Amino acid sequence: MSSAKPKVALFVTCLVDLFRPSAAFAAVTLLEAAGCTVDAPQSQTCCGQPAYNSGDKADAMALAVQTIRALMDYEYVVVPSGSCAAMIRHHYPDLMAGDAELAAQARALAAKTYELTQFLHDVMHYKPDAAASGNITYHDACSGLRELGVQAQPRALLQSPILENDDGETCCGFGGTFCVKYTDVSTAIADKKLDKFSATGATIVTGGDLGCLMHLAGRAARRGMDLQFRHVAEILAGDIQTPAIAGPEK
Amino acid sequence: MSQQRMAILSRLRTSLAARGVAQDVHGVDARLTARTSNLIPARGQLQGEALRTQFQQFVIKTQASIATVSSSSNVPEAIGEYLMTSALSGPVRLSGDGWLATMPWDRISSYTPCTGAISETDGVGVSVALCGIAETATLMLTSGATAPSGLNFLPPTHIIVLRGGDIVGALEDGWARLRLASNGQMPRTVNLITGPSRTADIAQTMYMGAHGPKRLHVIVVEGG
Amino acid sequence: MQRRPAAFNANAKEALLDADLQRALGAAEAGFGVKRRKAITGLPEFDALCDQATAIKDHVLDHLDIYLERFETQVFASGGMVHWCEDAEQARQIILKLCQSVNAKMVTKGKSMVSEEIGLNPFLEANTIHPVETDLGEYIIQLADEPPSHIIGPALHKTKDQVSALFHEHHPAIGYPDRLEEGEALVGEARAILRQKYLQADVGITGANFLIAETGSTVIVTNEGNGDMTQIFPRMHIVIASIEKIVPTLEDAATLLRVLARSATGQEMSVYTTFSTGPKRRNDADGPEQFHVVLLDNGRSELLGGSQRDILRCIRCGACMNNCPVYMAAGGHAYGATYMGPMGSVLTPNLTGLKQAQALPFASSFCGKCESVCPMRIPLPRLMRELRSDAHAARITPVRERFWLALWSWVAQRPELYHALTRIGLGVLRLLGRGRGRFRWLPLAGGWTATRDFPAPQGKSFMAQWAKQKRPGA
Repeated sequence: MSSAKPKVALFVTCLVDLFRPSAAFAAVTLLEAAGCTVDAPQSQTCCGQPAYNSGDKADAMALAVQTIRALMDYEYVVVPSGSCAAMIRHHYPDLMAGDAELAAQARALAAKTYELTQFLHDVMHYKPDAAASGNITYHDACSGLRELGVQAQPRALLQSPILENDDGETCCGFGGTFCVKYTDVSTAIADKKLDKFSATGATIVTGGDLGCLMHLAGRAARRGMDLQFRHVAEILAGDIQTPAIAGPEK
Repeated sequence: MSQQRMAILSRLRTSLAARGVAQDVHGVDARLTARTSNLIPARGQLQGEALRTQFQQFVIKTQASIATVSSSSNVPEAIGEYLMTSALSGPVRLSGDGWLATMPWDRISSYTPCTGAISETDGVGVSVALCGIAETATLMLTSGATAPSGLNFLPPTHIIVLRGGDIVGALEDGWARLRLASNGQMPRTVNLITGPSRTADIAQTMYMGAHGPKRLHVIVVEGG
Repeated sequence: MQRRPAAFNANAKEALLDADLQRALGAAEAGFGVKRRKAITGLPEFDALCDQATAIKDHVLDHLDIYLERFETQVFASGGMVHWCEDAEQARQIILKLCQSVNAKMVTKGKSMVSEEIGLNPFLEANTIHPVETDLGEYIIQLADEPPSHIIGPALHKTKDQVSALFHEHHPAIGYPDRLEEGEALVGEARAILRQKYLQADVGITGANFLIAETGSTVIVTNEGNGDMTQIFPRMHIVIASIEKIVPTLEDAATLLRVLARSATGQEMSVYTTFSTGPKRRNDADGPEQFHVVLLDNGRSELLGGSQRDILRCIRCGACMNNCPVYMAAGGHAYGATYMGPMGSVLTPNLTGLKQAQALPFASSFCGKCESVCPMRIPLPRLMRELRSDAHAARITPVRERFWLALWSWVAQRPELYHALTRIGLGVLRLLGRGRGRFRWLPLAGGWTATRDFPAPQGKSFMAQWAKQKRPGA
């Protein structure tokens, strides 16, 4: 194996790990196709975002330290989620601000951590062999969009015209624990978003954040809407055999 | 010096000290004296013909109307024409502005302007602007012995007369005019007026003439 | 709707079932978004102006004590009075005293959120002084006996039919017997009624968007002209403003004005921007004989010293709520507080105490759109997150949520245990699911499955599969 291949740690994220391993395998396929060596260290669990956003700084810090230790020795860290990538890139350094050594480690990790499509496109200059097919619309998850500037990259990688909704920069209502704390508001926001997706004529909704996709897919299923939800990694890797998220009831 | 005043100031100082901000009386006073302009957008820095053109265009964008006359002696006639084309009637109240007083109001017969105290029944108010600001088509009017601010709001139609030479680029140019005209003493009221009164408070729909004038007409006087 | 922040969730549920409200919010969401974007695209310097506006307010906050003194000096010099009030009660009392000093029976009011903050109207009523709101939106909700649901569009939650019904309920008694349906006619009727009020009022009370330290001027920004007639015709003009409204110079005000209207209504400039300095001059043709500025602290001087200080830069444009998916779903009344939306979710706990208002900083999906549209660069999500952290530390967040979160975090900090437990958990779900792609119901997941199906896991976790098939060299 060539030593010139960048050594990448895949930070799988808890949702992908538990609910959608196919997205992680797709990410591995893509990273390898882009010329990387991929590892997924077993000492990773959760990035700590639920604790952080719920105000539990102590636990968030403990999980951040654990994650930093698990990932710090790799050349790059790639995350199939804009929200968890943004947690590492933006919020770890903030969280560690009180401890000079940890802060330096957090900054170092932040500097080499990327959201998947961002890494494939901006760092590896990767281009899949074929354009994605199907009537696809894209959901720009808020953290990736606003904290990392992920917007053009997935579109460039998909290489097929995206059926854009007219409110692309508005939240889907997921918001992590928000979606169960304020269920009704979260659902109302999802409904507006789903109606916008429906109006595009798309049959496939894809995006880079499994949380948003599970929330949207779960709601669409409850409403009986004819929309398929897939992680963008799967589509880019050409995996459309795996049942869609929340896919067939039986 | 009230007890409340002392308490508030003392709490502010404690808070600022906690933030490690040093008191800078001289810095504050220097800033208040210097009155340095911040960034002025390019659209506020036009001159000459471009300045006039933008002012005219923007006035219309604010849903006001605008006419230009070559001399102040044409103003009474221009008002008459505006009233006729807009089918407006009702008493025309002039502010006490000295410039208006020099205009030949006796030359027109279609309406009779009146002066003196404003009345609820006034149909049209005519006032003079200190300047017009081309950046946003904003008219600056100041209150005074001959300029009741009520005239800018009470009549349903407001006509503002403006010297062409008083069209300036930015709000900051307006402030310079104001300081010059008022000798550094702010008038009681400075009105910046940008179009006629409106409201969107009923179901997000725009309706003109909420409380102030339903119509705003600007007459620019070029030359003398 | 309950007027307390703790009822946010219950209020929001009620709001979501209110078809009229949802229609009104839908119109607002579409309108505000488009107008703001258009106004900003039309001014290439907008971002740079926001940076400068932010710097101006930061500078003011760093020297607020001195600026307030300079402002006061200028108000005195122009013949006005300044009244310093530490809290709402002091402000109410001084306003009452001022009104009583001219035997006021009726006062007209321009739009003021600070007046809402101190509960001025019910207080004046209780003291036999009749306050009349003159901003059309405020007038509508005064008739409806409701608080504002938006800081710049107080009656944004009302449909035209509701306004029509309200007018028809209240106006026949004062000589307007017909029920009006058209918006223009409704505006015209309110115009006619309020016109009399401006001329009859003994005192006019307005708020202030800015207080200019250089000149001692107070500034109001309106589209209707009501705030002007409120202050021109009565004998006394009282301005009520909170202490952070200070701006150094007229030049600085110009910068703030350039970002205010564009962020708020998408106008380049609001129709009426009025600078009021002292009472009428000796020979002035009109204007109030007395000019009083009531300065309200109400917790802000302490806020200034803490980590939430950035919220004091707020110029009340409303862009954060206009772009907030939560606000646009739940409406302003759901927040149960004077200030709503993201800025309210930060300001309310800081003014009224976190204990009563801890639900509000959680009423955000942290989508970050509020911060991205805030012309004063207020890091609203960061401020809300800090309040969540304070609430967590004070143990005032719901016990159930704390329990689940603590359990998750505890397990997640033990990777081997985590992977073992998740293996078991996934196994259980697999048994429960029996090949289904989703669950309509799951134990302990009611918060999710009440409205959404729960996507079933695919099988074993990625980490478990990866550990088995990990290739050498990887």
